[in-house]
Amino acid sequence: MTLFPRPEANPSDDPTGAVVLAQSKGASTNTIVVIGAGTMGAGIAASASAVGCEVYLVEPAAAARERAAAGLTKTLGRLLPDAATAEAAFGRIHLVESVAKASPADLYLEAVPEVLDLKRTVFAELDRVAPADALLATNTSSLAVGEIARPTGRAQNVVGIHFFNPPAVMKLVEVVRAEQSSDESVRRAVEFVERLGKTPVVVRDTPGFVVNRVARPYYLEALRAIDAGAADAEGVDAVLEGLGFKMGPCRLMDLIGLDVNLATTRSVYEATHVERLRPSPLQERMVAEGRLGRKSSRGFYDYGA
Amino acid sequence: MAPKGRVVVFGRGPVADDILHAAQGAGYRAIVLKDLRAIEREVPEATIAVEACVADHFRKQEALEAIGNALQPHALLLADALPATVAECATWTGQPRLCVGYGVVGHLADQRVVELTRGPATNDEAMEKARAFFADLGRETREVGDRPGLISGRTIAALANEAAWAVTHGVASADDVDRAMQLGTNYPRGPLAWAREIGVERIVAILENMRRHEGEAYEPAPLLLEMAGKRKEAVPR
Repeated sequence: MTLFPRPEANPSDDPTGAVVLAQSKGASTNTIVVIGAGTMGAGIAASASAVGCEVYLVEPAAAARERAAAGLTKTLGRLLPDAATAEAAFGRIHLVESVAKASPADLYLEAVPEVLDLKRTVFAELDRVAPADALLATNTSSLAVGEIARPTGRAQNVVGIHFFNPPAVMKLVEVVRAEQSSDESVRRAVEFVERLGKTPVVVRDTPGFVVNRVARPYYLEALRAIDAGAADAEGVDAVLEGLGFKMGPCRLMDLIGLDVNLATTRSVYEATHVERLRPSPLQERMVAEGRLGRKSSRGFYDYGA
Repeated sequence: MAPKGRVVVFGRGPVADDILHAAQGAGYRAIVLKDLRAIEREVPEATIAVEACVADHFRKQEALEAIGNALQPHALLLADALPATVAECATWTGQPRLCVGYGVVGHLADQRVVELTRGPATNDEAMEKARAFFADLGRETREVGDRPGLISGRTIAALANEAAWAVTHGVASADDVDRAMQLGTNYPRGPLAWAREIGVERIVAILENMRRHEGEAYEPAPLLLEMAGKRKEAVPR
């Protein structure tokens, strides 16, 4: 069974192409539930509604639902070619306060904060309310998918679908195969990601998956060079930008937030205890001093008050 | 245009070839040597000698000793400071005042900024000449501290190594790791494809330099050793 059929070949000469076609076809009525309407959850909801999915976006707090609605309008406006299609896509997103208020769906995608107990609570509820053949997915970036799946009696139906920020824009999605994930679940996740027009890469359920793990040295080596007094942040950035990196590691950490970046390094390190991935004392000090990057006006660079 | 002086490059691979061609393009009389025995004859004529060995530690030491022996007292010696520290290189040359370390990882065309580093005895005149030479080659320079691999080499080698460990641990295939890194991070190349382009042997040499000075944390992943042809196993793609 194909849960997420691609749009059929375009029979008309509709110049707006596949996206609009997908919306206009009755074939694309499949339904997904996204739990958590933060940056990630809302961005995923926008991507899915843009290709014709009905999306239930679950967020218990009324204020957060309002914020999400405003953000969705903006994201869809940027994502879709004109106001009418953006409005139609917005109409396919239903902001609800609980999973119980959503229609039964093909896919449930959890995007709540990176706290294991929080995610497990969500999965315990999904286990109670989701149809038996639904695909259950977590957007975790730093926790083990197998651990999150534990409260369910159906770990074979659980995978990771890890989007990157901002999810409506970033093409890569890591599809995480946990030890107990079935081939069928992985296949369905891959199909869903392709339907969104994104590129799935299947990865094993290991700390940091591919991107967050392999990227660690980019930050760590910069931090170690600065800590050793071999260069300053501007020098490190200049050398690496001169090699073709779009943004030097220090400028990038300032953008991401040093605390967020450090948390990722910590989670990978604590799960592996590999010496080369040990967090940098310099970064620990900067975070302790509140030098978090752009959001605190000061990180490696000053951003004014 | 008055001739700018004579550049003698010693070594093989993209770094040696690219510096040779860039120097010729900038108006230097430049030649490349690939044989240790030619050093004694050619280096005394050089105003700038450039060591760019892609070889093991022992051969690099041998080359730098020979170049140092043949070098005129007012010439400049540029040593490839990625597979060994400039402090080591300078000692081997026996002319530590004239020796400046430089960092070009792979193709010079891919590198707008070149790192320079001084050893304990390097004099300011040599640093100044090194800056002027790379400026003639159209490159910005940055002086950085003498750490193994400098910043460019360390970063690329450590990324390639982490990618290789991820493949070794079965997280994803080599191609998928590269694809994920390019799409997920905007790196100019996938780390493993980049390592192949630079020469995996060179990446391993940089990691071995880091490991020698900083410990086992920088042990090269088995996959990199295989790719470098240091083990007999097939290279997984």
